[in-house]
Amino acid sequence: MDLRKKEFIDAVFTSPERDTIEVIWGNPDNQEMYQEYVQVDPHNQAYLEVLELGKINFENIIDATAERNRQQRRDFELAAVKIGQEEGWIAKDVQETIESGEEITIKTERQLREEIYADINNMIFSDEIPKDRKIKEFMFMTKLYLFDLEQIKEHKDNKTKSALRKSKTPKDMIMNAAKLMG
Amino acid sequence: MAFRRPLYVESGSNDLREMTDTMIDGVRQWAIQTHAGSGADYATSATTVGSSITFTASGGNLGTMTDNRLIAGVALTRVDRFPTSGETGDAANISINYSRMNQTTNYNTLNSDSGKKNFVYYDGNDVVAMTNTDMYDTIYSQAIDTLVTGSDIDGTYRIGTSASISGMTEMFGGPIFTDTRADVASYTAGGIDEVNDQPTTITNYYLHFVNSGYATDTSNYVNPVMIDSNNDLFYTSSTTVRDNIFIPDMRYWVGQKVRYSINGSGNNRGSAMVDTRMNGSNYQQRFVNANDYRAQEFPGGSAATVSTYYLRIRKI
Repeated sequence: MDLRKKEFIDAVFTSPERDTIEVIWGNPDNQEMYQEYVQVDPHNQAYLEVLELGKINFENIIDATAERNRQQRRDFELAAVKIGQEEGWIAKDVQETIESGEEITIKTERQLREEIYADINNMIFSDEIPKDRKIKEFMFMTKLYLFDLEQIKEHKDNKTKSALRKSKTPKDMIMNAAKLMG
Repeated sequence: MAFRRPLYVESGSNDLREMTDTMIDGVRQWAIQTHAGSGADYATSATTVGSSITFTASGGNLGTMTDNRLIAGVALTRVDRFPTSGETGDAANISINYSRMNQTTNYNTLNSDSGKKNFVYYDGNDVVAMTNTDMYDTIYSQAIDTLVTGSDIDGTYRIGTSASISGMTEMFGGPIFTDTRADVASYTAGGIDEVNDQPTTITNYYLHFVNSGYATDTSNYVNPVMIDSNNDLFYTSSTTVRDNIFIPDMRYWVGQKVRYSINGSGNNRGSAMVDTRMNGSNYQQRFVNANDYRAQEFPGGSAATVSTYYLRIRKI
């Protein structure tokens, strides 16, 4: 990089105190880029050079920093979603949102819990034979859990235990379980 | 002890004339350039300027710069439940100290002016040689003022974020400071217990020497007139002026008057060196099986500046 031919590209603050800026210079001859940290000080020649060559002022750097922070936040969200998908705790359909360029909203733990509780309530008191794979899976997992409990595992009422095992609806399952645990 | 206006021989008329301000500035520019450049008796200009910075593995007298980064806490495993964030080890700071820059000054001794060594001026009655102090007041003091402005001037050192800067020589063949941070993407819940220290390099900072001819303009230089051993006036080549006068004198005066520091007073030289670190932690759990519940605190949050270091130059 030849600093004598440098052209201003961008400058942002590196700290909330706004006492240092990160400057990106470019060389138009070979598209090389160079990064530099400059002290914000009206007596500092390097800082004055940034303002002069960049034709910018302090306010412009504030704006550029805000834009950079917005971009970084979005990059962070995308990275978090990617990791979440890889590890299975974020649904794949969020990918469509990412690809469409729509704003991604991340749910808080409380929001997620509220959704989960509503979901469980909808499933647990249903008196219909489930067609939804999600409810079938819920019943299967719940039965496994129930038969792992000492109170049910060791219960002598084999008839109710059989009924619990054969329960077709969540409501039947819960009532048989309650009978054995009561 | 004063500013003197050196004499030169005017081309064509061969008259003795007093130098203009522009010519004197050309002489100063040549003094700066020759100080930074290669002379007759040394090989590496960067280590023979009046105030030089050399590499030392540790204990450099320009002081210590510290690179801080977070590492993950110690992972914990339980058989009954997930360890709480209060039970797992906290993400912790580690620091790496860099004190690789050693400043050497007073490289040269000043030769006696002996009444004839230096350029001549007209005192109103006679043509007389300048004293060493006159030379300093006329040429070297202003040249040193130029060196310490903070701009990239021949013979000064600066910090760069690239190992290669055109017109400069990278010293030491490696960074003099490296800012690292925890590589948060490398820490995953599925990997608990993760290796505690997984750093990534954010920026390497290199020390550069600004080579001779980088910023100086000697187009206005004219050879000053001097006095020989027979008390005759003469002028010689610019290279002889360089080798016999400017190199030894500038080494001496720069050694006497120019100082570098880290975060001391003076003007910044090149890029600031910023030490950044993640500013939070990130508690994660991993369920391995019903008898193996793990948790660990990873570095998290966002990058924050811990310290900023400036290489500075000043005239004393």
